[in-house]
Formats: sequence, structure tokens, C-alpha cells
Amino acid sequence: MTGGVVCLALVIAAFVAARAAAAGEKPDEYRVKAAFIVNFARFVEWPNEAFADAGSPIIVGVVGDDPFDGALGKALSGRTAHGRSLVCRRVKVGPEMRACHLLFISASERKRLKQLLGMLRETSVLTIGEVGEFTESGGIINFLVADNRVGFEVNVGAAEEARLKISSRVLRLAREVTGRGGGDPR
Amino acid sequence: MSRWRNLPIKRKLVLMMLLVSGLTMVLACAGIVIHERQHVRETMEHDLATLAEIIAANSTADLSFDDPKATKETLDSLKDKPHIVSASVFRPDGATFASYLRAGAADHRMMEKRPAGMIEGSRFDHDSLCLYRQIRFSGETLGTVALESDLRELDGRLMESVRIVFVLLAGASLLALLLASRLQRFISEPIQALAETAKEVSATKNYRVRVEADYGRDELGLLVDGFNEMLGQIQQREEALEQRNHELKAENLQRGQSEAALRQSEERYRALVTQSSDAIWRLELEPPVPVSLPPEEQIEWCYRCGTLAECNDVKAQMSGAADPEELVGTPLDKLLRRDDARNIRNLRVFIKAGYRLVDTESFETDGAGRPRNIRNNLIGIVEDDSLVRIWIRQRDVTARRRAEEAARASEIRYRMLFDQIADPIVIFDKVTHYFLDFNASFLRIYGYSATELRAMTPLDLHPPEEVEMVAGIIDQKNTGQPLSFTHLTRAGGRIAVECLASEIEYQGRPAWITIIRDITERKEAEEKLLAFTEQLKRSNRELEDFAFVASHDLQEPLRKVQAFGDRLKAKYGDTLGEQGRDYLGRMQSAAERMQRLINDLLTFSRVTTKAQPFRPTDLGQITRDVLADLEVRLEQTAGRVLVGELPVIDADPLQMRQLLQNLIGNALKFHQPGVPPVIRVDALVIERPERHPPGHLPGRRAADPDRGQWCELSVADNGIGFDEKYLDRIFTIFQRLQGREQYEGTGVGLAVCRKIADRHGGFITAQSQPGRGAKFIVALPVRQSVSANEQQAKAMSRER
Repeated sequence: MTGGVVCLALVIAAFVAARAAAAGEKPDEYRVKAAFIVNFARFVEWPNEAFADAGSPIIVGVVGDDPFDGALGKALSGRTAHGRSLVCRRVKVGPEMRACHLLFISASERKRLKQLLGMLRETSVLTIGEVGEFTESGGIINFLVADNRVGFEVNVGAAEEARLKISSRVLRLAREVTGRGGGDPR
Repeated sequence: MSRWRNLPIKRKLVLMMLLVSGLTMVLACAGIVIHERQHVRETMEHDLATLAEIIAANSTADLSFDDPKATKETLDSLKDKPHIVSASVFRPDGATFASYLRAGAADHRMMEKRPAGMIEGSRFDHDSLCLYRQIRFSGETLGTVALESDLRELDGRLMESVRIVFVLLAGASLLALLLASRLQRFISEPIQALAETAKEVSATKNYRVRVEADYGRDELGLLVDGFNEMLGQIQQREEALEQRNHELKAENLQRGQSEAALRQSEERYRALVTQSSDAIWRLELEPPVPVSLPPEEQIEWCYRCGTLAECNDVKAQMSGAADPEELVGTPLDKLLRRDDARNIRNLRVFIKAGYRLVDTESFETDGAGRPRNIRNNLIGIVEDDSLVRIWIRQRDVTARRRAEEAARASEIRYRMLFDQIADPIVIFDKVTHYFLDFNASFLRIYGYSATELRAMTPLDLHPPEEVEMVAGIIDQKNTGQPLSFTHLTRAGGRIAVECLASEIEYQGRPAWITIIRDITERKEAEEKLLAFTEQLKRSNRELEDFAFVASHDLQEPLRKVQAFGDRLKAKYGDTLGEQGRDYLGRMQSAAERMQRLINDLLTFSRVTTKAQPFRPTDLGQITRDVLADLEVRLEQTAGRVLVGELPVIDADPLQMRQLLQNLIGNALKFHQPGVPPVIRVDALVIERPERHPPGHLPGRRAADPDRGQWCELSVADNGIGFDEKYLDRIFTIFQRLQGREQYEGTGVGLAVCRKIADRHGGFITAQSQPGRGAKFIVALPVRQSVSANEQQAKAMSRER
């Protein structure tokens, strides 16, 4: 009986592993990125004005092509940060973006990145990107992938401008921190 | 211990104070050390926990972003804290995330993997403290931090506090010694003074000595004052005692007298105890039993502390001891066995009844181990609410009990017999007549229930027609003689019974016991026999009637035959011729014999039909009359008849005459040719006939004990006699031993004699030998009963 159950469990485990392998690298990378996004929400503090009231959720927006394939929604569901629930929302380019607390800007928006970031000026939106020039363009956190590991870089100046406090514990983990004490690099 | 006791009080005081203060300090120091140790532990735990918290806080982001390197850096900073042996951060699943090991420390298991279940908490091992803290962030458990510290710090701090305590202890003890040796003087000095004075007083008997110094007003001061005062009082007593001694001598004389009185009383008591036929003994309870205890505990106490203190010879004998002294000190259990629940019950009753027990039986074994029934009387003596002793009087009632049991056994045996006997038995009250007892057979045969019977009397068993008769005789039962009754069963059936009653005493009351026999069957048989007898009598009578009538009626034609024969002979005799006359002669002689036969037959039948009542008859007179009638025959035969003295008896005179005539006639007839007959007629009056003729049993009347005397009449001759084997035949009608040619006769005479003897309730028999004469004996009752006479009369009236 127990042997049977163990066998069945092994078969299922093998099957799941095979599927994961077949699906390739991409989903795994985005699952890590989704988890990172949740952690960012937790290690970043927003000013009080960013929320309508104490019960308002933290809205995580995705603009451009969604590379997460549902992994972000899954990572957010049921999780909280600062006692607030996390909500995933697809947003279009426009004022909608300003209502988000975290905004993932897809690589598909690379060309109009500057324009998008410009639209978010003077808001407390934590912008997250995944293109090389993201932080230089005024984005706050940018994912970096090296040696199959996901890392990130932080533009502290942009964060301060958006009145966001990023925990030093996160900064310690960033591959690169720019804009510290140097004001706007642009 | 004795060394301590003999120590001077000064030393004792100092030692006591040192002991007390030393013990107190040691305890206090031990407390402090223990507390210090606990405190150091808590501090250590707290410090380690704080360190763990810091590491936990620092590693939240590392864990969130899965960056063990950053955590490793954090952990490596623990190098600054040399007491940390190892540190680890585990993932929530228990796998090691990052770890640190103190340089030079042995490899440690704790780093490999978080021990299962170890999430939060701390653990002291013999040389280390392990502490686990969960790493939580934003409501989620990210992992566990584990720290292991050695206990060098703890040990160091502990050693230090012990050192301090020891120094303190030594100092304090020294101080205590100094103080104690000074302070003890306040106590020891007055006591020493007292002791010395007391020693002096007891050595010199000088009561004038006093303790001189003043020791203030505390207890010791009071003691010294009291001692001085006491000495003063003793001094006074001494003098008073002297005086009292004189008085006592006078009193002694008086006491001698009262002691004598007491001794007498004691002797009287002793005599009473020793001479009593009852066993008397005293149980002393030492210590006494408090009466306030519950009874069970009191019994327990009695068995624990009760011993025999004194007893008399009867008790000794009862217990199998040779001497009462042997029993002294015997525990209660040996005397009143505790394992016998009845004894315990008796003791409980004794206690509850206020320590008295009257005539209560117990069961004991004597010296030889035989069971005895003992009747006990107990009186407890209570002094100051305690039971101090118990006086016990016992009587051996075994013999009486045995007798009672034997009586009971006998009663049971009687009862079994009573119930199992097949005949019904009933016992009823002699006065009230109510039934008292009845056996199983009675219940079965009569069908009444026991309850019904108890409300009944014997009268209820009888049918209405018998009740009056039974009521008349019920109180005068003829003991030993069964009486016949008819009884009714409950179902209404009638049974013929024979009752035999005896007087008995039943449960202290005079009563009748009646044994009943169901004789229904016997009764029926008797009635059948009676009916048969009646029928037989009737047919016999009819036969006699027939014989009488027949012979009577036969005479008439016979007379005609004779008359016409005579006439034929007279008128035509000559013409008949020789042969004709011979025929006629034969015819006439035959007719004559026929005539005789008929006459004899008539005579035979007349014995009953023409019977006369019995009356006193002089047999001598009758014999004389008969001899007168036979005078011609006597002359013809030259015979002689010798007549003895004959009595007067109750008889039918005519039949007596016929009897004698037949017997004497026969004696004359059967004489030996050429020898003149000699005949003896005699009679004997006897108490009981000597013998019965064979085949002739005396009738019922003959067995009647009231009949009294008998007359044995005998007629003896010197004739031809006969063989006694023909004794039966000679008394039967028409039976003859001799040929008709030699001796005439019809063979009726002796049959008539027997019939007459029968009618008189007697019998006839004979003794003879051929050629040696014959002796005929007739036994007749001298007195005929009235009833026999009445029966005769009745029989005759029926004849007519």
C-alpha cells in the first residue's frame, strides 16, 4: 500500500519535472521575477498619500506585452505587504499607470520607455523594468539575468524622487545601485 | 550522642548557635548561587536571543531574494563573539541556507539541517546552549536562525559567585563564634550556679543553702528564685514529714483492721468465683478502650490489648488448661476466636448495649479442639470514659444443645416416617378437635389442602349419617382397637376406613393421632363373601326344605304300597303260589326299608327344621330316658350301660335325646358276635376341647373366647370298632361301613349326630380300631350365648 503510494508519487513527480523541463527556461525566470516583485512590495515603503485609505490594496500593474503568463497573478494572490493585499492589473499606456503602486514595464515598451517613465513623474509608482538602459532612463528597479540567476539593480535617486523608501536590506542585495547621493544622473 | 549529652551547657550553647547560624548562612548562600546560576542562564539566553533576532532581521531580504551569500557575510561577522560555536540559517523546509562555524570548532551537526520540529526555543546541553528563532517577515515564515553558544561565560560567572560566597561564609562563621562564646554566658552562668547548688544540697542534705547571685527577672532569674523558694519549702516539708511519721504509726494500727475486712471480702469473692459452676474470667484492657471510638475500632482494640487477667478452675478446664494460672496473659483471640463472625457480632452487640451481654451463645473449641457451645454473660467496667476490663461468665451448654439437636433429628426422622408412610395419618386436638397435622398420604388420598384441613375437624370427614355416631365416640376412642368408618374425600368420594387412634402430646397439647387404613377393597370383599354365604345358606335351606317335603310326600304313596301289599298278602296270599309270595315279601321288605329311609331322612332334616331353643338340659336325665327306651334291645343283647356323672348344659333336650339314642343304639348294634356289649357314657367339663376331628374346624362361635367351658360327652363300647381312616365317612349321610346284611340301618344316625353337634356349636369325633371297640366324643359348649339362642329363634321363625 505504502509502496504503491510512493510509486505513484514518484511517477507524478517525474511527470511534473518533465513538463517543467519541456516548458523551457522562460516561465521559470518569470516565476522568480514575480516572486521578486512581491518582495519589492514588501521591502519598499510608499508615502501615505499613495493609498486612498488603510484598507486599499497595493496595485501591481503590467504594461506592454505580459511575459508572466499568469505567474504574476499567481504569485500575488493571497499575499500581503504592509498589511495590504496585492492586486495584479493589466494597464494600458496612459493615466491608468499612475494608479499603480508597482508598474512592470515590459521589454516590448523598450522604444517608448522614456515617454512612459515621463508620464509617471511626480507619482509614487515603483517602476520595474527588464531592459539594459532602464535605470539610466529613470526607472527605479531593473531585473538583470546572469549565470541563470535573476538579480536586479536599483536607481536610488529615482526612488527618492518618487518618495519611495527602499530597505537597505534590499539595496544590499542589488548588483548595482545608482544615483546614490549624486542626484539625478541625467 | 552521649558525648553530646555530657557536654557542659556552655559548649552546647556555642555549638548550637554556630550550627544554627552556619546552617542558615549555607542555605542562604546556596540560594544565592542557585539564583545566580539561573540569572546567568537567563541573561545568556536573552543575549543569544537578541543576537538571533538581529541575524533574523538581517537575513529577511536575503531569504526573500534567495541570496545566501549575503547571509553568510552576516554570519561571518560572529567571529567577534568567541563564545558562539556555530550559527545557521535554515530555509522553511529545514535545509541549510547559510552557516558559520567558529574557527577550530568541531564540525557540527546543527549546521547540516534544522532538526525536525525545532523551530523556536532554546536548549541547554551539558556544554552548550542552542537557540532557535523563526525568521518572519510580513506575516510569512522565511526560515529559522539557529545559534549555538558554549557555556564558558556561564561557568566563569558561577565560579566567581561561589568564591564570593565562600569568603562571606568564613567571615560570618568567625563572627558568629565570637558572638556566641560571649552571649552564652547569660544562659549558662545561672544554670551552672543552680547545678552546683543542687549538687551540694543532694550531697549534704542541707536545705539551708541558697543560690546567692541575682540574675534579674527573666525565666532564669525566676528559676533561681523558684529554686531558692523550693528549697525553703522542702525545709518546711522535712519538718512536717517528721511529724506525719508519728501520726502514721498510729494510723497503721487502724489500717490493719480495715485490711482484714477487705481480705474477708476478697475471700468471699474468691470463693464465689472458684466455686461457681460457670466459668468466670476477667479480661483486662491495657491500655483501656475509649468508649467514644466506633464499635469496630473498639473490637479491634479489645483484640489487640485484651488479655485474660484472672479466671477460675472451670474456665481453665473449659480451655484445656491444668491450672488457671496457665491462662493468665492469654490474648483475647485465643479465648474468643476472632475469625468467627458470630463472636464479632456478639462483641458488637455487647458494645452497643452499653457493655452488657446477657445469655448469648458463642462457639468455641476446648483444649482438645472439640467444638463447644458456650453461653456468655459479659459486663464491661467503664472508668473515665474508657472500657478498662470485662467480666465474663460462661456456661458450657454443649450437652444441652446436643440433646436439642438430637431431639430435632428425632423429630425429623419422625416427620419423614410420618410423611412417607402410605397410610394417611392425622393428628387432631383433643379439646377443639381441629386438625393439627397430617401426612402427605392424607393430603393425597383426601384431596384437601393443608390450609383447608386446619379449619376442619374429623367430623367433617364423615358422611352426614355417621356424624352423630362419630360425635358420640370421638372423645372416648378405644385405644388399640381399630374402628370402621366411612370417610368422604374432598371430591365427594366415599372410602371405607379403619381408624386406629392413640393419645399423644403434640406441641405441648393433648391430641389424638389417628392412623387410617383404606379398607374399601377389603370391605367389598367381605360383603361379597357375606352375600355368597347368605346365598349358600339359602340354597342349603331350600335343599333341607326339599328333603323334608319330599320325604313327607313320599310317605303317602309308600303307605299305599304297604297297605295294599298287606291286603294282597292277606287276601290272595294262598293263590299267589310260592314264587308270588316270595316276590311280595321282597316288595314289602323294600317298602319297609324305604319307609325307614324316609323316616331317617325326616329326622335328619328335622335337626334344623324342628329345632327347639336351647335351655338347661340335664344330660343324666336324658340318658336315663334313652336307656328306658332301649330296655328291650338291652335285654336282647344282654348289654350293660355304665353311666357316669353327666352335667346340665344349654341344649335342645329333644336333640340331646336323639344324639344319645343314636350313639348308644349304635354301640348296642355293632357289638361283637357272641360278646355282650358294655357301654360307658361319660362326660368331662373342660376349658377347651382338646382336639378337633380332622377336616372339621370349629365354627366361628367355637373360637369365641367368651364361650367358656365345654362339655366333652363320650360314649365308648367294646364293639367291632372301625378303621379310623374312615372317620370322615361315618359321619356322612347314607355312608355305611358295614353290609346291610350284617347290620341293619340306613347310615343316617351319625350324620344326624354331627348335625346336632354342629347346631350346638360343637363337634363330634371318634376313636377306634377294628375289633377293639369305639369311642365317640361329642364336644358341646356348656353355655350357649344369648345371641346364639336368638339366632336359633330367628332361624326357626324363618322356617315356619
